[in-house]
Amino acid sequence: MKLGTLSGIDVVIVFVYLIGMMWFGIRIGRFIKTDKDYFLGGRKLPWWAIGMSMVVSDIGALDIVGVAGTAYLYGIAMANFEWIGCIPAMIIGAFIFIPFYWRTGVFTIPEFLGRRYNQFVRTVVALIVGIFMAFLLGVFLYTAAKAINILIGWPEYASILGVAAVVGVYTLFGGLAAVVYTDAIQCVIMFVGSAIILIIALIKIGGWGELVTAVTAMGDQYSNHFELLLPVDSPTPYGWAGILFGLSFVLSPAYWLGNQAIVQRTLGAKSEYEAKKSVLWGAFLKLFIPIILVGPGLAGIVLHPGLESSDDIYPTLIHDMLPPGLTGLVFAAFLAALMSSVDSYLNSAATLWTKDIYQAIFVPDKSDRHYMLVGKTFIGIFLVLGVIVAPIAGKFPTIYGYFQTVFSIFQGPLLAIIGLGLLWPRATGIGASFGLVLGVMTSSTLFWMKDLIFSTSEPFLYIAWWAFIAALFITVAVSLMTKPDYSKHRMVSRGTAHWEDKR
Amino acid sequence: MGGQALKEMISSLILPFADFMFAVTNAIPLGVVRAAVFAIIAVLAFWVIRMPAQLPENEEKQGLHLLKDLRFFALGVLVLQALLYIVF
Repeated sequence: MKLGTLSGIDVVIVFVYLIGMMWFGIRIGRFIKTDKDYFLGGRKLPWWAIGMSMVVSDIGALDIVGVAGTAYLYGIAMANFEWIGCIPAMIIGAFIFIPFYWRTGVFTIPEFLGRRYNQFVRTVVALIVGIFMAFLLGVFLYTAAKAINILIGWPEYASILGVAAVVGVYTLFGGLAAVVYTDAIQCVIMFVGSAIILIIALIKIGGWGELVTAVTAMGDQYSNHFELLLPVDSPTPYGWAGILFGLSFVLSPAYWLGNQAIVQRTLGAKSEYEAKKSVLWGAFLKLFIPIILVGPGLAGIVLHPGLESSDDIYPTLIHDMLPPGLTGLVFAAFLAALMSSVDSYLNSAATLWTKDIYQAIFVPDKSDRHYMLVGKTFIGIFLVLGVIVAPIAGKFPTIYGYFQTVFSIFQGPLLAIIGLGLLWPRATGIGASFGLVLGVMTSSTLFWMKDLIFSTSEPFLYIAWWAFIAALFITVAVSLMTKPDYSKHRMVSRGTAHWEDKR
Repeated sequence: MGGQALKEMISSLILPFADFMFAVTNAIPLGVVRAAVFAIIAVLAFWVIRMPAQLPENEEKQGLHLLKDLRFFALGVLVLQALLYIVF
C-alpha cells in the first residue's frame, strides 16, 4: 500500500532532524576518552535524560507501529503492556535491583551474573542476549522501512540502509552519552508528534465518546475493544492470565530489570540516588504512552476500517490527516522513536560483546582505548547483521508479536536467575547454569509445539511464564544439591565503595 | 521418530495440564482479576511507604522531604496508575 511522497517542507524538516542527530553524536564523541566514557557516559548522565532515554528506547518505532496496529486489531488491552506491564516492575527495579547493579560497578547484566554465579552463566547470557539483539535490530529496521515505504514510497531495503547509516554515525562516535541525549530530544519530539496525531484523530471523529460508540457499533469483533482485562478464552493473545502472569510477573520485570539496553542507562547516572530517580521518572512518563499510542490505533478503526495489514494504521494516519509541515514533524518523531531503539540496542550489544565476550574471555589486559575501539567495531558488525536479518521480520502476523516472541524465549529464565541471585544467598552457579540452559530449552520446546497446546496463535506470554517457572524450580533444585558460596551473594549485595576497581 | 510425532507425543503429556489450567483461569470472574490488579498496586504502595526515606546521599535523614524523598514520587506514580485502571 503506497500513500505518496513528502512535500518539500516535510523533507527539509526530516533532513534537518537527521543531520542534527548525526552532528550532535559526532560533537559528543570529541569528549570520549575511555571505555567508561563510551559505554557508561562517564557516569555523568543526568536523571531526567536517562529516564526519557529508557522510555523512548522501549517504545521505539516498533511500539508506535506495533501497538497502534495491535490496538486496531484487539483494542485497549494493549495498554496493559505500558501500565501493569511496566510500572510495578520499574518501581521494584528502582528500589531493589538498580542499587544492586550500581553498587557492584558493573558495565553489563552478564558481568553482574558472572560475579554472582560463574563465567559460564555470564558467557551464555551474553551470547544469547547478544544474538537476540541482532535479530531485534532487524525488527526495528524492518519496522521503519515498512513505514517509510508506505509514506514516501522508498524501497524497503533502501530505507533500511538509510536509517542504519544515520544511527550508526552518532552511535559509533558518541557512545552512550550520544545515545541518551539524542534519545531525550527524540522523546520530546515523539510525545509531541504522537499527541498531535491523537488530537487531530479525535477531533475528526468527534471526541472519545463518539469513538467508543462508533467502534462498538461496528460489530461483535469490536465488543471488547474498550476492555482493559480480557477473558482467558478471548480470541486475542492478551487474555488476563497471560497479561498478569506472563507479562506483569515475568516479561516486564525481566525487561526492566534484566535488559542490558534499559539497565545500562541507569549505570551511567551520577549517583545511586539519580539512578533510582531516573527509573521513577521513566515510570511516570510511561503512564502517558498508551494514551498517545493505543488511542490512534482505536481511532484508525473508525477512520480507516478494513485495512489489509493492521500495522499500516499509524503510517496511514500520518499521511491522511496531517498537513505539510506537521507531516514532516510527525515523521521525524517516528524516525526519532525508531532510531532511539536502534541506537540503544546497538550500543548495548556492543557493550556486551566487548566486555563479556572479548575482554572477559579472549583479551583481558588491554587499555581502555583498545576496548573502546573494539566496541565501535562491534557496532559496525551488529549494524550489518541487523540489515541482513531485517527482511525475516516481515514473516510474522504482527511486528509486536515477533518482538515479544523473541523475548519470551529467554527472558523468563533470565529473570529467574537474576531474582534468585539477588534474593536467595543459597543459589549456586551450577544451579543457575542448569536453570538458564534448561529454561531456554523449555521455552523453545513450548514454542515448537505451540499449535498443539495453546489456544492462541501467539502464546508468548504463557511461554514466558512457564519457562520462568521451569527455570526457577530447576535453579532451586540444583542449588540445593550443590555447595553454595555465600561470599558471592555478600559481594553483590553489599557492593563496593570504589567501583572503578572492579571489572 | 519424526518431528511431528515427537511433538505430538510430548504435547499429549502436557495437554491435560494445559486444559486444566485453562479451565481454572477461565472460571475466575473478571471482577476478581480487576481486584487482583488493584491489590498488586496497593501492596506495592504499602511496601514503598514502609521503606526508609530514599534521599540523596548527603541529605539529612531527619524530617519529611516531600520533594526529594523518592518514595513520594513512586507513590504518586502508583496512585495515577490505579486511577487509570479505574477510568478504563
